[in-house]
Amino acid sequence: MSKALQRLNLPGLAVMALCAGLWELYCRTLGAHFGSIASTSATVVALRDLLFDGPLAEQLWHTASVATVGWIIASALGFVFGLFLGLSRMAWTYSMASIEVLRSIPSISFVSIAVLLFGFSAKTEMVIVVYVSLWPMLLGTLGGIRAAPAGLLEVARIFRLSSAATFFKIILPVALPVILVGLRLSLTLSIALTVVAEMIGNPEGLGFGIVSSQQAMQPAAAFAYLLVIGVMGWGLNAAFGLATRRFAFAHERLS
Amino acid sequence: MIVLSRQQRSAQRRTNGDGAPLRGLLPLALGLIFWQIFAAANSPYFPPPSEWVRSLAALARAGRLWPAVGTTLMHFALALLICVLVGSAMGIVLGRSRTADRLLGPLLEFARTMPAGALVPVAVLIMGYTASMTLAVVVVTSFWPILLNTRASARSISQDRLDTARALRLSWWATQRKILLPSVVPGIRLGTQIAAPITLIIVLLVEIMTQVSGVGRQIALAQSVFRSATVYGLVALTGCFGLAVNWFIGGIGRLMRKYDPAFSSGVASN
Amino acid sequence: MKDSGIAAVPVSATAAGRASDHDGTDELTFRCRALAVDVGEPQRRIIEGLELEVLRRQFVCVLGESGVGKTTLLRVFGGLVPPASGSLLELNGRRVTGPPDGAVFVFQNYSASLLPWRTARRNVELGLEADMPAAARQTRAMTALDLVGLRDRADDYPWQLSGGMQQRVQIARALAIEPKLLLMDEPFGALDAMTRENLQTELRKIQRQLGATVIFITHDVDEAVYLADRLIVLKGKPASIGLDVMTELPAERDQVTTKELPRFLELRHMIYQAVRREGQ
Repeated sequence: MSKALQRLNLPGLAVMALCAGLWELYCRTLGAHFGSIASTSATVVALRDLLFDGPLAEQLWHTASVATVGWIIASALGFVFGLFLGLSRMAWTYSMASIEVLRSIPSISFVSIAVLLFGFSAKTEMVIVVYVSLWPMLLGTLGGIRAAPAGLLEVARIFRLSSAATFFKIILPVALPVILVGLRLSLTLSIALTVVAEMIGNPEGLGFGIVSSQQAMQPAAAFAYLLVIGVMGWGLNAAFGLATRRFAFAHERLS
Repeated sequence: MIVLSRQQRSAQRRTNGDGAPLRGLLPLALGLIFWQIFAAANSPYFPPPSEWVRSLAALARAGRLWPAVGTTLMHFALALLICVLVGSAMGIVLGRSRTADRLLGPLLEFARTMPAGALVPVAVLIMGYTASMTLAVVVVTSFWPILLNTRASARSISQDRLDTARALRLSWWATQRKILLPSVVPGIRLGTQIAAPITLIIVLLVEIMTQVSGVGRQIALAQSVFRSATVYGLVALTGCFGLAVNWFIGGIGRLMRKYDPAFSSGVASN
Repeated sequence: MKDSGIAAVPVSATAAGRASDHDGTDELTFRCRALAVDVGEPQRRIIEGLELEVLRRQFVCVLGESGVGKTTLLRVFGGLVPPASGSLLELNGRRVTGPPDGAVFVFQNYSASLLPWRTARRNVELGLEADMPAAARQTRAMTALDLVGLRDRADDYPWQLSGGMQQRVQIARALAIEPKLLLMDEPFGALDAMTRENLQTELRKIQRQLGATVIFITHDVDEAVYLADRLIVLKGKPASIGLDVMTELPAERDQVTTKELPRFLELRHMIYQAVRREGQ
């Protein structure tokens, strides 16, 4: 099997197709009396209808764009704060414990606070996404910056590198893999929270779509939305993975 | 002062493992104090912390607080237990069998990246507003770190250990018990430490979205009638849950150290 | 040839003054007087009253029992650790208050001191980036790699190189800045015997070629006697110089024949005596 085919993992994809087929079979036979599930074919039909005659396209656009923009803002903020706390010993000493406490509060709780303060709007959605997603980025950046090995920092001293040079040539490259992990976690959270925010905080986008399908007792539409959400999440993650593959090597080499 | 200028200390700089000094609580404490002083007691959006306590007490007197707390904690504990069992079992299978890993790969990958919230409406459709629905959603979304980390340690059992088993002519069952299980325990532990906070979040998420029971339901109810003090109070309460979970995670780490102290900061997968 | 002025050192043999290479400028490179060093919590004085003057182009090897303070002393020389007050430490007439200009340190743990995300050549360029344009840097780096025999591995990453090669990259990195003083902390300690012997020979060649002053720490007596123009044994609690002797071995050395010379054996004997006396 050629290398490209190998990476595509055909057997695995075949298993997925098999599951879809089995589900179809189940829905037509044993599960036929359940009104609350939809077969594979029904889901596909609903998907097509929603896409061409329904609001799916603009909902997908809304969710994907809010998630991406929210992620970018959250990452930038998290990076800046993480940088500050990582580099300034005093700032770290006098705020780390507070941060530990704040981040122990389950992120979902802030969704309710946001809805309380900002009502049902796109602003609420963005606030939620940004607030929750900046934490992994902040903590990742912070951790990465503080993880510079003492040996390399001494090398910086013996060659009399300036503070700026030490930062860009040693501290930042060491921190990069951890920051990338933070970025990825942040993206995952952004996507998840955009959907959640749309379910309870802002009646727009895929989240709203799936909830209204459920409330209208339309399982085929709900399954279709689930599928789209899943593919969108997978797609954004895959795009991120492709874009950052070059940086992954440093992580292994460092250990 | 930027730390770079204190190069003298760099050689003694410790890793992230050192605990944050308690002085760091200052901003939080000051923030709460200022909030208390400057917020009006009847402020609709920013009631002071004293109001939070008062509304929680009222909730308790009405008999709605503690049952909710009990429900949430019970769901959390049960869900985490199931996560550990399912996650470690699957992790072991996928770790030891390349074929299974390859066959199930894409399917599991798709399921893993599914945003948690999206599953709730579908689960409600299929299973209704029940405790088993809650557990199902929580487990399916939260067990992944356990699966991934168990799989990683199952995969990386050193050949030396396996050869030892063969040289001693251990039975299949004895091999599993004496070699495999202890080798995967660090992975299970690490995965559980990562999964615990996630489990708490998803439990609350389901409770807030479906409003069936638990602290999440109380939060959602309070929010819908604009009882902001109650909302803040309950959020602070969930913060205490979060701190308790973190402490519990630390406890697991200390307890399990005898199995593999060297593993204590292994590569985490999530 | 001038008298070194090392009167303050109370030792048995003729200390310094007879540097084998001479171009008439055997000026003082490095000196310390009344050097004291405190370490730890609470502070312990581990080095006291150390007097040392090193001439240019001398290859000095420092020996001593484990834990006596050799590494700390070298780090003090390199400006990484401050000496206790009252100490005088100078390089080329200027006080040492931090890593001094013109001196460079080579660590024992080479893998912890090379940047894993840079190629060998880029690692060697690290010390040059502040004041040199790219083209000049590259030439200098390649010259340094050439000196240690790694020109053809310039574009490899540290993880692709063996331990001996990584250490050579670190040495090349140190040489690239054309230091006046090279401080080496058991640089060959983590290498296998054959690699060590090869690198010893190379190091002497390079040192003579560049005319650098070297202060080299080791606990391997044979290595020390083989490499050095001057041998120093650190001993005592707190430590100071117990033995300071010129090797007076020929400039051209060889791993087999030099080690059979009577003077070589005599020096070994002297050192073992000096170190062992401390144990009593």
